[in-house]
Amino acid sequence: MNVIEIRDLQKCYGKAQALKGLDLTVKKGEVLGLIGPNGAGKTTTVRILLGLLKKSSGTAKVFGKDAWDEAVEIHKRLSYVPDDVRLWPKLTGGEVIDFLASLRGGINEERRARYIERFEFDPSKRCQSYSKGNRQKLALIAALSADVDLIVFDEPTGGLDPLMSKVFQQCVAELKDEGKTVLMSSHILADVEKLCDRVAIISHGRIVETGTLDEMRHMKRNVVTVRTVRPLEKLHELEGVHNVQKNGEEVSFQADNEQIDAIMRFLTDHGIRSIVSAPPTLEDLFMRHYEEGYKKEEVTRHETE
Amino acid sequence: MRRSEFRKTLLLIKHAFRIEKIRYLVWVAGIFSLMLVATHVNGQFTAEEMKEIVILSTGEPGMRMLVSPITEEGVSEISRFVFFRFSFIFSILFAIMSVQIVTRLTRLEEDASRAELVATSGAGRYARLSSALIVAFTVNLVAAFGMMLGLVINGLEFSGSLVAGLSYAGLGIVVAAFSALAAELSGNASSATGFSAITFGAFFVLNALANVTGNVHEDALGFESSFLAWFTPMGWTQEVYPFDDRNLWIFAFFLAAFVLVSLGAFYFVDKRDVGRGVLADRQGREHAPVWMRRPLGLVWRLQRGAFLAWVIPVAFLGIAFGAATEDLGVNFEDHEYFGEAFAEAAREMPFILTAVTAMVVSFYARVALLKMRKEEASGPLENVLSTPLPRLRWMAGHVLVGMAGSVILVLTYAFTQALVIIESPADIGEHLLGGLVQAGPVFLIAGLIIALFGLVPRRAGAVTIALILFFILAGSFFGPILDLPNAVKNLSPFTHADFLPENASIAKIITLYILGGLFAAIGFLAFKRRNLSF
Ligand SMILES: Nc1ncnc2c1ncn2[C@@H]1O[C@H](COP(=O)(O)OP(=O)(O)OP(=O)(O)O)[C@@H](O)[C@H]1O
Ligand SMILES: [Mg+2]
Repeated sequence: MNVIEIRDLQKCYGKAQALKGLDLTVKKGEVLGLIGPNGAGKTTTVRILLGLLKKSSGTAKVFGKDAWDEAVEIHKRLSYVPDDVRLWPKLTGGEVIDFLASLRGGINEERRARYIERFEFDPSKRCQSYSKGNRQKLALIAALSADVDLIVFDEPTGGLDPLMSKVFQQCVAELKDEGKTVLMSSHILADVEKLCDRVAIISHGRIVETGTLDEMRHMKRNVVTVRTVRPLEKLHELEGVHNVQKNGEEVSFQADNEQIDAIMRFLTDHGIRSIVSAPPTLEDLFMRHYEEGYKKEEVTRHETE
Repeated sequence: MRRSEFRKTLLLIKHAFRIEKIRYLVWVAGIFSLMLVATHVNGQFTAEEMKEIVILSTGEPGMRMLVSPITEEGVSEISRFVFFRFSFIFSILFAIMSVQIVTRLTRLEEDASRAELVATSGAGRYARLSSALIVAFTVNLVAAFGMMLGLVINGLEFSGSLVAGLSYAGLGIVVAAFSALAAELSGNASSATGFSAITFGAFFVLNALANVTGNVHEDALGFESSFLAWFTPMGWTQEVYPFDDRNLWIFAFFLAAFVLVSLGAFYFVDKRDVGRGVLADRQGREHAPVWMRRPLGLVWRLQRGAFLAWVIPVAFLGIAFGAATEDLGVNFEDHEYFGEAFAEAAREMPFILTAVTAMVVSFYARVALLKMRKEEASGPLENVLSTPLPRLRWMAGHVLVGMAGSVILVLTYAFTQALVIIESPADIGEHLLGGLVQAGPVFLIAGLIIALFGLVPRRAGAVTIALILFFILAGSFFGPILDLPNAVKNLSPFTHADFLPENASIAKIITLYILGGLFAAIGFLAFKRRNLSF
C-alpha cells in the first residue's frame, strides 16, 4: 500500500510555478529521502501533503485520503517537523511539547522523557532562549514522542551538531524497525545515504530521478581514470564524455553508459597503459543534478531578462 | 559609556531611514494634514461660537480631561482654540509615532534576529539604541515643522506656530526615551509596546487630573491646570502657551527628561544580552498545566497578558473619570443662561466617555485578533495545524478572546465608571446598556479584522490600522469636531451608536452586532479555504 501518492502535482505562487507536475509515491514502511537544490520545491511539496498549502492541480494523497479535504483525518496518523521551527517565545520547551502532544491525542510520558534525555534537551527554558538547534530538537522530540504511522521531516538536521545528528539517525533507524513510514527532505547526503531506502531527486518542481541508492549508482555514468601512450587531446569533444581532468599522465573523466563502447574504442586507439572504471560516488551523482539545476535556472533567468 | 560603543550609529540611522521612510512620511504628512484641516474647519466658527464651546467644556471637569488649558484672552482666537480642542489628539499622535519608531528600531529588529547581524557587523553595543533615539528625535522635529506649516498656511503667526509644533515634538522625544527604556527592560516588541503604552497612559491620567483639579477662570472662560501638570510631559506641552506667554524655558524640561531617561536605557544595555530583556528569563515549568494543553487554554495563555494589560487600566480609568464627572453640572445649575444646557451635558458626559473608551478598545481588538496573523507568519502555526486540530477550531479560540474581550473591556469601563456615579443600584443597568451600545461598533470592527485576516493576510496589519483610525476620526466624537460631511461620518460604525442609550436605535445596534458576526463568518470561510502564508 502507498502511504503517500502524488501524481502530476502542480503548484503556482501567483505567476511563479513552484511545482510543475511532480510524481512521487512512498510505500508503507519505507524511508524516502527527498533531495534537491535550494528552491527546488521540497518544502512546497511537504506543505501540500500536510494540507497547509493548496495544490493548483494534480493529486496528493496520504493514507489514500486527499491531503487538503481530509487533512484532519490524516493528521491523526502523522507528525511533522518543519523546516524552520518557530515557537511561542514566552512558553517553555516542556509546555510546547505537552501542548503539541495533547493535540495529537495525549502524552506518552515515557517516550517524552526518553527522547528528552536522548537529545539532552532542557525543557524548563523559555523558547525565546533556545538556539536554532535546540528549537529543532524540541520539534523532533514532539514529533517522535507521538505514536503515529508517518513522520515527515523537512531538513531535520540542519541545525544539529554531529553528536545530535547521530542520535537523530538512530531514532530514524528505530522508526524503520517499528515499520513506520518516513519522508525526509535533506541536504545532508550522509544522512540520506545512511537512512533512506529510496531517494527522489527533485529539481525545478519535478522529480528527475528516483530509486534505491544502488540503482542510482549503477545508472548513467561511470568515472574512468586512464593512462595512454599518446595524449588524449580530443577526448572532451567526444559525445558522452564529461568533466575531463588531467593529472600529469593520468586523465580522469565521467562517461555516459550509452556511449561507453565508442569511448573505449577511442581510448584503445591511443594505446591504453592502465585503466580504472568505477561507479560514481553519491556525491558525484547528486552534484550532477544540483549543477544542472542551477544551470537551468540561469537559462530561464536569461530567458526572462 | 565608551565612545567606541557608538560605532556605526550613522550607518544604522541611514539604514532606518531607508527602510522606514514611507512610514515616517505618512506620520509627518498625517500630522500636517490633520493640523491643516483642523485649523481650517475650526476657523469657520465665529468668535462668539468659540467662546460658547470653551465655556461648555471648561465648565465640566470631565470634559477638561480631553482639552487643554486656555487663557481668558485666548478663548475666541482660532490659534488657541484649535489647540484647546486638539491638544489631546496631537499628544496621542506624537506619542504613538515615537513609541512605534523606537520599538521598531530596537526590539522588533532584535526579535527578527537582524540585530544580531548588525551587532556582528562591527556596530557598537549602543549603536542600535542611539540610532533609534536620534531617528525618533529627527522625525519628531520634522513632524513639528509639518504642524507649523499646517498652522501657517491657515494664516497663523509663524513663531507661535513653530513653538506650538515644537512643544508636541518635546512630548514626542520624552515618550521616545521612555520607549527606549521599555525596550531595554522587556523581553520582546509586544511587551515593550505594552510598557510604553502604560507609561503614556500614566502621563495622560496625571494630565487629566491636573486639568480636572485646575483653576477655572471666571464665567468658565477657560482654565489653568493645577501643579500636577508639572509631573507629566503632556502637561508641559500644555504649559508652553505658544501664542501667549510662550514659556520657552519648558523646553529645558523636555530635553533634560529625554537625556536622563535615555541614559537609563543605555545603562540597561550593558546589563543584558542581545535579544533578551533585563526582566525576562527565569526558569520555567517543565510540564504544561492541564488547562494549557487544550486549544482554548493555550489561546488564553497567549492572550491573557494583552487582556490584563488592557482591562486593569480601563477599570482604573472608569473609576477616575467617574469620580471626575460625578458632581458635574451641580456647580452650574444656578447659572441663569447655561444651567439647563449643563445639566443635560453633565448627564451625557459619562456616556460620551464610554464611547471614547470603545474607540480606544478597537485597538485592543486589533492586537488580540491579529495575534492570529502573528502565529501564522512568525509563530508556530504550521506546527499546530499539522496536528489533528481543525483550522477553524484553532481560529475560534482567538476570535472568542478577541471579540468577547473587546465587549468585556467596554463593559468594564461602563461598569466601574457607573459604580462611582450612580445614586441607586438600579441605575447601573443604564450604564451597562450604554456600554453594550458602544461595544457594537467595536464588535463590527472586530469582525472586519477577522475577515481581513482570512482574505488578505499579508495586508491585514496595515489595512486594519488605517480603517480603525478612519472610523475613530469619522465617528461620533471626533467627526463633529472635524465637521466632516454626513456621508463620511456615516461610514464609521461609531456614528451609528448614539451616546445616550435611550437615543440609540436598537435596530441599528443589533445590525452592528450582526454585521460583525457576518464579517467574522467570512473570515472563517476564507481562512478555511486559503493557503497558509508565511
Ligand atoms: N510564498 C511563496 N511565494 C512565492 N514563491 C514561493 C513561496 N514559497 C516558495 N516559493 C518559491 O517556490 C519555489 C520552491 O520553494 P521551496 O521552499 O519548496 O523550495 P525547497 O526545495 O524547500 O528549498 P530549500 O532547499 O531552500 O528549503 C522556490 O522557487 C521559491 O522561491
Ligand atoms: Mg525547504
